[in-house]
Amino acid sequence: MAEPATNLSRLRDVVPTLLILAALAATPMVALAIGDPFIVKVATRVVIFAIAAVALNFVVGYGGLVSLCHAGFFGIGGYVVGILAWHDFNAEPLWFISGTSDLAISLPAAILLSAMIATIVGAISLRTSGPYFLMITLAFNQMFYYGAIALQKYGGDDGLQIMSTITLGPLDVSNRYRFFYLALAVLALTLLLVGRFVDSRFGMVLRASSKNETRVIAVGVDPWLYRLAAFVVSAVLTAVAGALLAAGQQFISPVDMGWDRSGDLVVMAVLGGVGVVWGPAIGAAAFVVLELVLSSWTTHWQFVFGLLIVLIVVSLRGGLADLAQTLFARRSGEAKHG
Amino acid sequence: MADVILAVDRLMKSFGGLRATNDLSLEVLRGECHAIIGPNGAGKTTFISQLQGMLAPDAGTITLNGRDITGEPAHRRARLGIARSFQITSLVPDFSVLDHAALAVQARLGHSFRFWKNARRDPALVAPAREAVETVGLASRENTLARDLSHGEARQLELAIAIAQQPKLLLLDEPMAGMGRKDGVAMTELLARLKRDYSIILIEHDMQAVFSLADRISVLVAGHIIKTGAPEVIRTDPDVRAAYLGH
Repeated sequence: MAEPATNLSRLRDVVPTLLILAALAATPMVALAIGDPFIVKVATRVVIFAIAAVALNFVVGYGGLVSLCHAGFFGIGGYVVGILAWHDFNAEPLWFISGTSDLAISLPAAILLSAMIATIVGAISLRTSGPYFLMITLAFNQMFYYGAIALQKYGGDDGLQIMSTITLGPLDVSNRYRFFYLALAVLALTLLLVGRFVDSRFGMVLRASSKNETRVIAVGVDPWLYRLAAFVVSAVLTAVAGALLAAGQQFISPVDMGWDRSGDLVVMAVLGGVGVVWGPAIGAAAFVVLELVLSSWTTHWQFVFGLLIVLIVVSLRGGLADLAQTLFARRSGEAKHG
Repeated sequence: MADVILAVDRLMKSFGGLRATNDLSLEVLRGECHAIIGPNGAGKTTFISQLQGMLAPDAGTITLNGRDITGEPAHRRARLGIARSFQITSLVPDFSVLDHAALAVQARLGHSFRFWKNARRDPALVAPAREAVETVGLASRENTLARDLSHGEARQLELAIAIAQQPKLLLLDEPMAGMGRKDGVAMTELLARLKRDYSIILIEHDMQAVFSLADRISVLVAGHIIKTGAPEVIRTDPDVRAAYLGH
């Protein structure tokens, strides 16, 4: 595309991404300044769900595939970290391998396992489209959910407490601040990866397929394998987010992988804006913070929450990202005039 | 024997009780512009869809360059050199003119499992795409989104996408459908230029355009080709006049 368009895309993508990362990076300092470490805990949760929502949006916003099994992948990532740590703590080998509390091993393990499962789930689910895709991914999510409940050895219904200290190589990341920056680095990497992917040749095929499959086939591309690859990438990144959640809160439970959590991730993406890569990160932040604030005000917070979401989605068709861009455009417009 | 690029042999396709394609045989010569005319409902678009591979025939064979492609799916036929412009414009609303042509170029260049480099800044895609866009006269609109194009421009873009595929055979399904007189004349001129470089199957209702562009014309009635011949032969053929031209 021509140069002006390139500059426009920089303004549209790079600047907001950097602003989001900078704002998040500043939260621990704010927490220290006002002496409220709880803020870091919230910010960590925001970052982790931002990773999952940005990852999910790769298939929802760019692939046109609304998946309801991403909480399943989120949970799979969490359980890989949790189960490996359990075997480490109890000094009991898992089949032929020993347990570990080192993320340098358990993260790649989570990536590998989620990639394999996502390949199978994707290959089956992508034979369908539209509402059928929605339903079949929902079914897979419930399989994962009940699978986790069936893990009696690892807590079943009650979830799995991580008793050992989580490390990353030689680095102890049980420190709240250190862990936050680890998660933030993963979010930055996720935004970079997804940002590159959507503008690459791969991304062009994926995006075109979501809007007009007939056209893509007519020029000589079978969209199926591209959709599958996108689904796997998205699932793996979501599993990494789940692994971080488990490591950060030293706990993972089936509740983290219920189908309603899959719905939450879709809401985060739509709330933030599916048209830009960074949109769902804003959506995740709004979701986590609203949930927290509203639930402290009233026990009927979900009613207010629902109303707010409807209001935002109806008034801003591109989600919160639209609002941000409108404000930004107006500002820079004024600056030009002034 | 003349150099045949496409041979269709006894093609059959039924929808329920309707024989949309009925024992259809046809040969298209390399480099010729072969028009297919026929009354509404004769099965022209159904035939094109079977050539492209969107529809599977019930019986019969389609041979491209001596290779049986009857069983090949549409995307593979595109790679083998068949490009189709759709009667009802088929575009990606939020892709620009150039994006569409670039997508066709990247499809031609092989697999698209390339994740890192920005496709819109890739000269290997942009340069040939721009060439195709210029050929159809849309250069000034290359950054316009498909949803903002006029009807005539969208028709031109359909053609640009097909050209960007560098096909061996162009299937043009009513490229002038819904165009005004002025756009129609411009499109005829454009097609006249294209026919020098491509083998073309042209479906068109504008008889003036058909008779000026076509090297040969086949007349399709009720899914069957009743006559193939040079324009002047078809124009005066009594069967054709009775079946189609109607006067």
